[in-house]
Amino acid sequence: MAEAYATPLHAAGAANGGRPLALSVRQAKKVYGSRDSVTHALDGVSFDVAQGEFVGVMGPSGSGKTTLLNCVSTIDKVTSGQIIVDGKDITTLSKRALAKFRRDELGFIFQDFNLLDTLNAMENIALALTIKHVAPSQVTTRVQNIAAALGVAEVLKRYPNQMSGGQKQRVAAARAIVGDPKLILADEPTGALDSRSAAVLLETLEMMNQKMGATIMMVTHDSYAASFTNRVLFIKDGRLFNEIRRGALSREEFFARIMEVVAFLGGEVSHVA
Amino acid sequence: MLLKLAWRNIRHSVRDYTIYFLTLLFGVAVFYAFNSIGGQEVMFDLEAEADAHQFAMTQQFLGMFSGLIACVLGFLILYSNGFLIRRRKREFGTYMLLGMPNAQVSAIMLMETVIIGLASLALGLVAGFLLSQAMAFFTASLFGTTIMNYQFVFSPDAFVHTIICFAVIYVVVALFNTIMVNRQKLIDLLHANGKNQKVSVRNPWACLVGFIVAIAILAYSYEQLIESGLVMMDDVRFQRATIGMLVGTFILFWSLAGFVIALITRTKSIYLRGLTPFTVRQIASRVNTAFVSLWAVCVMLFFSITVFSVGMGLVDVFTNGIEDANPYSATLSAEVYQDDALATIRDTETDASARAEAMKAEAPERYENAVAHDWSMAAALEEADPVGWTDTIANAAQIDLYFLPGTTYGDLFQKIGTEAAQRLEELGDSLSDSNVGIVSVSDMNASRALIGEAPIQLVDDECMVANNMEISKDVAADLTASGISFSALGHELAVSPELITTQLEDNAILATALTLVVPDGVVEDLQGMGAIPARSLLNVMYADNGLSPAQNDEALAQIVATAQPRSLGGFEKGTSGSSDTWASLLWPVTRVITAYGMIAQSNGLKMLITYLALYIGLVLLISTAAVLAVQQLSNTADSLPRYRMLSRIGCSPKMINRSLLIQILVYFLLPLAVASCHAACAIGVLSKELFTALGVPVTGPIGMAAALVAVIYGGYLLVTYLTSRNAVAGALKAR
Repeated sequence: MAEAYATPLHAAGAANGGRPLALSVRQAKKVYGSRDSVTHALDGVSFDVAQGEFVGVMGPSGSGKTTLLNCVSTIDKVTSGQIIVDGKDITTLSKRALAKFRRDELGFIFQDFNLLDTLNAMENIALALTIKHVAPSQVTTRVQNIAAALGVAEVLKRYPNQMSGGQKQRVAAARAIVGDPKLILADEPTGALDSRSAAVLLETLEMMNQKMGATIMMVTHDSYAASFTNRVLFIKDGRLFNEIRRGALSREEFFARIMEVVAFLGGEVSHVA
Repeated sequence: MLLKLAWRNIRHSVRDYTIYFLTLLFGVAVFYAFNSIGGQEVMFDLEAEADAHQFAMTQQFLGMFSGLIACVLGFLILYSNGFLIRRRKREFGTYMLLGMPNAQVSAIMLMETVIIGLASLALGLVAGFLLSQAMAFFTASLFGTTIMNYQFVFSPDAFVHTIICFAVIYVVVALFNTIMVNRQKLIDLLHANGKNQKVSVRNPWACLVGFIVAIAILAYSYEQLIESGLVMMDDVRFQRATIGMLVGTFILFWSLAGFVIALITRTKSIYLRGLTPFTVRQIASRVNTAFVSLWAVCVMLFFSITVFSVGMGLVDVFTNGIEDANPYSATLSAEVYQDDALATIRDTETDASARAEAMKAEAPERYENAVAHDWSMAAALEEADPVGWTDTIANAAQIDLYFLPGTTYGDLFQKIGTEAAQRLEELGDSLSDSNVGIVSVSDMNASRALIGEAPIQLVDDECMVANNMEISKDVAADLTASGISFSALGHELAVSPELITTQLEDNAILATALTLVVPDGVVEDLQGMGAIPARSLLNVMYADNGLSPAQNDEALAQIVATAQPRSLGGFEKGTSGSSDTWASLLWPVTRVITAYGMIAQSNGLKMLITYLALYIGLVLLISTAAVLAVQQLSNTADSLPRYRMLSRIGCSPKMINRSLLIQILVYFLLPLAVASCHAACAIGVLSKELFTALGVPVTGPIGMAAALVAVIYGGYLLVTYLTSRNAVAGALKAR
């Protein structure tokens, strides 16, 4: 009974105050394995993300949260169901169209930064624009503006191995947002950072969401990281288990609420910053 | 168990091994095929010793170079093996982490080496065997014959040679691997993949300076090379050019990356487009560390291209028009002239009887013999062996070459003008100072009759220029076009505009050089003044006696041996070979050249040079291409995470493949371009100094070299690209 846990479909739009949807996941199922041993990594997940939202996805290891992210980011494909980004059902797109879709509509932040070690920060950020064939004259200005906003202007000439983890992740964030994507997907972005750098990054993401209007979907198992979002979805065993909204709560109060759900979930209790 | 593991490893990393294996296979096959050429002998109907000798000689030379080739192949195998090992450090680390002792890890490596080695050796020998069969047909075409008795030829010598040679190489490889595994620390092995290459960025200004210096050094070397003319290898300019090219190329590759990259990255409008930043950095990150191997590849490519095209050109030099150069069955010559220290026969005597006096003093017997036969070589030989002579010789005609005392070529050309005199001077060998060489018109017509050419009509106060030698062609044209006349022993002779191109004797090349055909009266007057011929050439045509040319050659040698047996003694000119049955005398016979012998020798040379050029060119080419291929494949494998990331942020496979193609193209074509420039310079010089002088077009060999490079190098390039593309596609799908 997936519906019992999931947000009722008709309620989604209303709950977000009528803002248009950036992402809509409908009955997404992902099945691994053959006849003998079937694993339901996703077992009918449905939810919506409105434009300008900062949504966290939490769940214990093996709950399906990374599979969900992979499916939304079109790196993986759902077995059944729909994923609609900006009104387009991406599950029906061809391989070539998928690459174009990722390029034009999505921004990525990964746990292990995934910067190209042969390029300096400037070039890493610029790459998101050049592969979209943005005019070279615009590229430099746009990169510099974003870098200044994200506080990495002074490391633009450096190569990844000359930067700290926090700097690398902020450069990655700059690369994710520089192309004005419809949706930024962050996969455990604080996973490889110390707590100080993690806090700076989360504030950066928050700023990107509030000041720049970026729509962000962040997968994390860190309650502290999740407390920076507007709304947290909990996934367990491939299903949507619960959903809590920050509403008017302060970050600390929201953090406490998240901890309650995590404890209730019986999942691992993540470290608290 | 270990064997199973080794076998699985090979099957697992079959993609990494493909190029390595193919190259080993190629190496073995080529090595066997070229070393087995001697064995082809049995397929041909070889009637003369001369032909069998050609096979033996070719075999010997190829054998000599095989040592060198084995070293090149050994280096290649070690190098590519090193690359494969480096890629698998982590795997070894895992074995060790699981508690496998070093010895066992080494044993796995050893087994892998043995399996790959045995497989490549076996398949390579089979391929080499087939290749050598195909080469027999090629040999036949070189000889201009067809194969008489085709059979599968197996050369046990080549077989054993190949096995020993490659066994040694594999043992070295195995030792190398064992040392490599034993020396590693576990922590390094496990973190091998995680280690980032340190991106070293050179100062672009230093690179710019380096680049300019490199260009300057190369320009200087080219200039030295052009000046030296590549004629003498011990010329100091040639040595300077060689060192300059090596150093200049090295600095060029060192500086090129930094310089070009600085240039491109500063040109934002070019740089910030599509995957250009990635592609440029990808190339740059390697050029900074790979410039040494790029340099080595470039040098080897240069050798490969030059050796191959020059070799093919030389084949033409030695064999072009060999039949035209040997119109008579045989030429027997009496080299009576004195001044033979120089390559060109010349004479500066002003006294007509000087040579006769000298010969009387140094070889009185020979002089008397000649006078007794009225200087007719045929008479002397026929007298010695009348039966042999009539059985063997159908027709004979003697050409006596004299020098006009006191009239030099310089005198004639001064009359034409200073420009013509200058051209003559440039011909070298102080031809200007030499007296003019003449033959009588009846001597000339007698030999022309032998080969079916119409007699020359010469009026009394006229002479004609005979020349068919390429090098003196222009000068001869100056003379025929001049319309000058000159005085010879009281005869006023006008130079006819008509050019005679008759070959006066059998020779390796067309060798009639600036000889004047004069009325008989001139020669008679000269004889009256006590002059003797400087050279006498007896051209003979064999009788239609049912014997083969080789047998007639032997019969002719027998006649000469009867006239002048080795035991005779007397004045020896010393130009005959030690195996000859006759003594080389000043008169009647100093030297015998037969058309059949010349052609056989030239075919042999053709085979020798062709195969040497092919062998060396081929092996060097395969080696360089393989080194590049292994480098690029390993480079791609190291970069797979980067491609995966590019794909994630939305690069289409098409863009990624294009970037891949550009990287591989740059790495393959950059050294090729530099090597081609060097080769063009070297071949250009050679072509000016050698090929053009001998009238051999150089376009053919260059075309062949280009085709060889296109097929082998291009083939490796293509395979490298396709393999890389598959590897990348696989990595993108795996996620």
